[in-house]
Amino acid sequence: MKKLHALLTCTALMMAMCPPSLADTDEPITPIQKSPPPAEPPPPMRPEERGLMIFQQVCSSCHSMERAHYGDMITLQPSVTALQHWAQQRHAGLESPIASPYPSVAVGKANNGGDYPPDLSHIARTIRGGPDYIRQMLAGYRPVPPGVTLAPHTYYNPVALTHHHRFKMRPPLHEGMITFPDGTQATIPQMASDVTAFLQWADDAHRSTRRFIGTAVLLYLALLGGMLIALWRLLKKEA
Amino acid sequence: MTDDTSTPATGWLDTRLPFLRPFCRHMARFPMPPVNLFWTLGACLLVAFGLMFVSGLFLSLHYQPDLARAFDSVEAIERRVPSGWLIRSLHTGGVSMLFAALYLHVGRGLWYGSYKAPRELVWLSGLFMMLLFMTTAFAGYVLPWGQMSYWGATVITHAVEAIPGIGHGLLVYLLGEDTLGGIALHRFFILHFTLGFIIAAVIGLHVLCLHGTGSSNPTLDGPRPDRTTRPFAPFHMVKDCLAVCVFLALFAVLVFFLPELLGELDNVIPANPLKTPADITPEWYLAPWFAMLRAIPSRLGGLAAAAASLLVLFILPWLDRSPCHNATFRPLVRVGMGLFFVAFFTLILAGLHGATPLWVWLSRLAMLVWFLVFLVVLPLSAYRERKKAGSSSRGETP
Ligand code: HEM
Repeated sequence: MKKLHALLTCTALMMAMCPPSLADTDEPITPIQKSPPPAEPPPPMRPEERGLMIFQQVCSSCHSMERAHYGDMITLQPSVTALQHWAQQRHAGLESPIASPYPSVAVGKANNGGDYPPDLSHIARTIRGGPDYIRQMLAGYRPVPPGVTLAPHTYYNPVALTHHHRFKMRPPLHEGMITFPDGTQATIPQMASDVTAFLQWADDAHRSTRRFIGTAVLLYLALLGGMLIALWRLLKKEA
Repeated sequence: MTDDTSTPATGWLDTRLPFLRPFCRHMARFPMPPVNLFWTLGACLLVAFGLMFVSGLFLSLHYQPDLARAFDSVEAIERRVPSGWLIRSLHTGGVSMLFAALYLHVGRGLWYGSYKAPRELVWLSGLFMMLLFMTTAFAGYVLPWGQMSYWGATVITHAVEAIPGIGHGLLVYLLGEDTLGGIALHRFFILHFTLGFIIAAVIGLHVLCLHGTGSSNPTLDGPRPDRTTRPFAPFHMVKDCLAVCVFLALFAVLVFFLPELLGELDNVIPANPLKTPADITPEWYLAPWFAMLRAIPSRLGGLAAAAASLLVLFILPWLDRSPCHNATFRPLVRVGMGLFFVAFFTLILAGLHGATPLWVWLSRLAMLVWFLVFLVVLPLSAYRERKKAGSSSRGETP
C-alpha cells in the first residue's frame, strides 16, 4: 500500500514540477492540524524516513550525495514544500544534486582534519563492511583511552577503518539531538541504525519494490509452469 | 494453426502474404527427433535475447553516450526514469542469464557432437554469434562509465597494442584518440546498439541453417537408437515453453532477489582515469579469456592464445570427423569433454580471482587441457572410430 502511495506521490511530484505554481499541492493538510482528534497517535515512521531527517540535519552539513536530487527524497518526505525549503536553504532546487556544502575539496579537507568527507550516494554498497560497518562505526566513538594521544580535530573510534582508530569525522550523533515526530527516542544506536537504513535506501531505493515484483513474477510463473507441466504430461501420454 | 480450413481473416492474409501459411506449417510440423532437455536451451536463448533487445531499446531512450553525462544518465535511469531501475536490472541481469544459457547451449553442442556434418553451418553461425555476443557485452559494460567500465576497457583495449608493428597505431585509430575517452565511449555505444540488430539477423540465419538439416538425434550412437520423430507442435512447443518458464524463474530470482551477485561493486563510482581500482575483475562470462591474457607472460602470446582458443572451435567439424556424435558413447571424448568443462570452469574462477601464482598456474593447466582436448583427443578418437567403422564396413551415419 505504501509503495502504491509513494508511486502516486512520485508521479504527482513529476507533474507538479513542470509548472512551479502547482508545487504547494499539499496545502489541504492544514485543516486537519487545526482540530486534531484527541490522542491520535502519530503515524509510525519507517527507519529510512527518520534516517532522512538525520541526514538533512546532521550528515549533509559535511557530506554530499551527488547522485541523488533533492526531489528524489519525495518517497521518504512526501511534503514537496518541506523538500523545497531544504533545497532552498542550500541554494539549490528540487532538481539539483545534493552537493557538498564545501566550495572545494581543499576547503572540505581543511575543515575535517585533512580527510575529505566522502560522497554518500552509494556508500552503503562501496564501503568495506557495508551497512553493518556504518551502523557500528557511527555508534563506535569512545573516550580516549589512557596512553593514546590524539592530534587536534581527531576523534577516538575503535571501529573506524582509517588512521588506526584516530578518526577525522567528529562524532556526528548525540543523544536526543533530533525530535522524531513518531516519538522514537533519539538514542545514538537508534539514530545510527536509522541513518544506515537511509543510506541503504539511497544506494538502492527499489529494494522492497523489487522483492514485491519478484514475488509476483515467481507466483505467475509457478502458475503458468504448473499448467504447462500438466499439458506436457497429457501430450506425452497421447503420443 | 496447422489445419487447412481457412477463416476469412487468415484468407485475407494468405492471398497477400502467401508465405505465411507454408512457413507456419513448416514450423509446426518440423520433425523433431527424441531430443532431451538440453535441446530446449535454444528457445531459452531466443527469449533471453528478446528481453535484452527490448530492454536495451528502452534504456537507449534515456542513456547519453557522452563523457560528461553517461554516468549521470545511468543514475537518472535508476532513480528518476519511471520503471527505469526495473528495465535496467533486466538488462544487466539478463546478460548473465544469456551467457549461462549460451555456454550450456555450446556445451550441449560439444557433448552431443552437434557441430558435425551436416550441421557445420549451424555451428559456425552459432560461434560467430558467440563472438558478437562477447563483443556486445564488452561494449555494453563500458557504457555506464563507472570505475570498472573504464579500467576493464582500458586493460582490454590495450591488449590490441601487443600486435607487433601496427598495435599502437591501431589502438589510436580504434579509440579515435590517444586514450580511452569521449570518442571511444560514443563508438562503444554505437557498436553496442548496432550489434543487437546484427545478432538478431544472425539468429535468423542460425535457425534457418538448423531448419535445413534438422536437429540431431542424441540416441543414435546408443544401444537403443530411436529414429521416430514427432512434429514440433504441440509437444516440443509445450516442452520449450516449460523450459522457458523455468529459465525465467531463475532469471527472476537472480534479478529480483540476488542482484548483488552480479558484482558491479566498483561500477557505482564514476570513472576516474587517475585512480586505478584495487583489482580489476572482468564479468564472469568474459573471465576465461581474461585469465588467458594474464596467464601468458608475453602480451602478444596472451592475445594469440585467447584468440586461438576461440578459433579452434571453428575448425572442430573438421578436427573430429568420426561418425559418432554423442560423447556419452565415446570413452575418450567423454573424458576429454569432461576435462574441458572443468578447465572452462577453472578459467572462469581464475579470471575472477587475483593473479596469484596458484591461479596463474591453474589457468595455464586449463589452457593446456583446452587445446589438448580439441587438437589431440578429438582427432585421435575420431581416427580410431573411423578405422573401426571402416573395418566393420559401416558408412557415415548422418
Ligand atoms: C543467442 C544465441 C543463440 C540462439 C538464440 C540460438 C538458437 C538456437 C535454437 C532455437 C536452436 C534449436 C533448438 C536447440 O537445439 O536448442 C539451436 C540449435 C543449435 N545451436 Fe544455437 N543459438 C544460439 C547460439 C549458439 C551458439 C553460440 C552455438 C555454437 C557455438 C550454437 C550452436 C547450435 C547448434 C550446433 C544447434 C543444433 C543442435 C542440434 O540439433 O544438435 N548456437 N540454436
